[in-house]
Amino acid sequence: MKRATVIGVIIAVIVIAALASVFLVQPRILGIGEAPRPTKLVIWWNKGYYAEEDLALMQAAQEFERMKGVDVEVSFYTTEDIPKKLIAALEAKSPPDLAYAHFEDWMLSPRWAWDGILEDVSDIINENKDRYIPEALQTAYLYNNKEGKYSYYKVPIQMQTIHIHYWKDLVAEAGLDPSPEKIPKTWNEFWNFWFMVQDKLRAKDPEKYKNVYATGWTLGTGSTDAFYNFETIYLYYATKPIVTPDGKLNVDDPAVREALIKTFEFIANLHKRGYNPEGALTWQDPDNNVAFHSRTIIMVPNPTISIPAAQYFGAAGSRENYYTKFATVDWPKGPDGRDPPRLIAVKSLLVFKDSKNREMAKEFIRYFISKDVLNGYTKASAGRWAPVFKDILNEDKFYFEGFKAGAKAFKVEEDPHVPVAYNQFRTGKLQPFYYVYHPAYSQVYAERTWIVYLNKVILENYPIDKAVDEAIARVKQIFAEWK
Amino acid sequence: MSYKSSNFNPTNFLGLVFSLPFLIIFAAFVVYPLLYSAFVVSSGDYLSRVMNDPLFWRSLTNTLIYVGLAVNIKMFLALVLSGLLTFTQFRIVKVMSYLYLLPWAVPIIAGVISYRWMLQKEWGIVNKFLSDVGLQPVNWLGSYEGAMVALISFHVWKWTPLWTLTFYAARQGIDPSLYEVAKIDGASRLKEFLYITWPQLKYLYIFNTMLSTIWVTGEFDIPYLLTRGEPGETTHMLSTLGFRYAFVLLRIREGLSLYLLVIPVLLIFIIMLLRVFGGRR
Repeated sequence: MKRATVIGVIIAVIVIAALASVFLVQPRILGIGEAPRPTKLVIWWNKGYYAEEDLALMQAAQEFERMKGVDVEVSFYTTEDIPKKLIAALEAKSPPDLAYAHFEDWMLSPRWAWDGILEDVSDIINENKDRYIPEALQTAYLYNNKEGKYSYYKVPIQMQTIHIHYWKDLVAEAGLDPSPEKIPKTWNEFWNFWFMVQDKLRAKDPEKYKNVYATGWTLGTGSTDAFYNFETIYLYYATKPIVTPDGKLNVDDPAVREALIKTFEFIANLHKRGYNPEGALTWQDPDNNVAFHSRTIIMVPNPTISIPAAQYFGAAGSRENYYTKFATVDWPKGPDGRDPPRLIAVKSLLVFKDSKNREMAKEFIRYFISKDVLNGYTKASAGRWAPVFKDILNEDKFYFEGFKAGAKAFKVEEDPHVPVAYNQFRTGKLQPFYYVYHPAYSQVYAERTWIVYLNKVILENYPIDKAVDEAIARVKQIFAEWK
Repeated sequence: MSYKSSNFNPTNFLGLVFSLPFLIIFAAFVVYPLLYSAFVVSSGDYLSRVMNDPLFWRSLTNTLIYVGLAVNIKMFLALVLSGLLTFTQFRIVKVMSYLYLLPWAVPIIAGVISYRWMLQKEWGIVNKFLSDVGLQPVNWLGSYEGAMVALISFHVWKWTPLWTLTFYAARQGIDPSLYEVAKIDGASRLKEFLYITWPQLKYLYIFNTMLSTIWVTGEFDIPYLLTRGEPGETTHMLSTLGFRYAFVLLRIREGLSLYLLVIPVLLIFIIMLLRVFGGRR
């Protein structure tokens, strides 16, 4: 065989195989061939924090299979993996029929609605509009830049906000009254209280408490908690929003800049004064939980009540912690004495325009968000998530009493966590993140712009006003790119 | 191998048939993704957007520092340690040679998590040790310099054993009579190394260094798991930045552009590598 022939055959094989893979993997990219007719409903779901959550979804899927006579294929992926899978699937124009990802609210859906990738689900929303808590529903109303219109592009199912937990026994060890009603309710007194606990503990036994800190304030740029905490504190100092409800970036307003500076100052000072672990600069989302469980921080702000839930379902002895050794308290009043809105992150179901079985996916959603089915799923998270439907949040006893039944065994009357946490959703005004008003803010979140510059202040002693101005410039640049 | 102009050669044909699975896989998982990336990237000014991002230049600098230091420290240590492993007359060396391979055997995820804990500022064992000897604890992962040291040291710890083995194997191939002659001539250990060992190992050293440079330039797992660009997005490598573009910021084309930018650099190394390798064959 001639040398040229061999080389020619090799090249031909490579070219044919490459083209074959294009046709096989992505027939519609080149407009060749049609996707095969779907025979089942394909669901990709964020793996739950507890096995019970996954089980609740599987039960719903099986019941739907039985009712409709269709196959339902459910695949679970971890919180970090599912966005990647979805991005790759959309790039290949082969997404699942239905998807649920914990990070969709800030990471995926604002961009995908903007790009016209998401299916309009207004029909489902309109059927259930009266059931929704209005602020939760607001998060589903997104802008489609391709079609130049706002519409409902996702179906909210659950939400979260930031709760505060503290070790009562550490407060008592410092010689202070640890009962929740004794925790100060005003801004400065509230924070000074935790600083005082740290100071007193270290004065009492420097060696034992040298690594115990007042707060566990996550500052890692890779964490969502850091951004969530920042935006919450901003609401305490803000008199004007960063993005107005009609989608206008408001950072040129001096009141916004001033509130940003105060937010930077508050968090940077808390850390630099030594009331936050130095390692918190690199904390990811689970790290403040770990620090709290290992009792190296006295109080911790955390989105969801995953910390109490972990103790409730944890190892032997931790249920005693749940009922007697630590508690959950509401946020204090703001520096100006008012009650700021509670920042909510709402998690939703997505259907894609390229989904093969969109109508069946919508049917499943209708079934899944029915009161009993969704409530069963939400309760399976042991209080980690809050319902977005009034008929669940305001009617089911669990959201008022929590795990009250088990309290007596530990000589207490009430569940010290779940009722306090859910009450936060019922009292005061709720507010969604700014990316609901303009999707460009989802990139500010994804880049953690405020946190990157806050880190500069802490790590490099960067002047706060300069850091804020540079951060504002970056935010403006991001918004300019979303045209 | 010679090619005759007209006759069918069954050996060549069989070779081609046996190569087909590889060729198909290569085409599907290397050629096609590359062509596809080039196709989608060419539809916009993604390359210039990447190059205008200050984080790109920072990541490029970090990658050069990481590759430059980690690869060279690792290779030097591997060369030295492979020499120590030849002292098999000492029992401790035999024991150590087994223990020494452990880092290579430890899964990266387990190793990185342990390392993160060891370097933890408040209760990590490294700072505990520093405190015990009267030194100030270091915020290893919470400072740029500390995090870079952590990245490089973990890489060196993890991968030095592999390269040590290659040098050790090469040392076994050196004719012992050369050392015997050198001993008779009264050569010192240093001279033995300079005039016998090094000439026999230097092409392997260069080959290993270049191969490792190619691998480490695209290394993702250690930087992603150990620092994730922290603190404050200062320790991103090109690999983690590309991931950040594609899977955090949903700018998949910028992510692809970044990876395409690196390919020509790697190609230069690969060509050099093949020349060195080809020259020695």
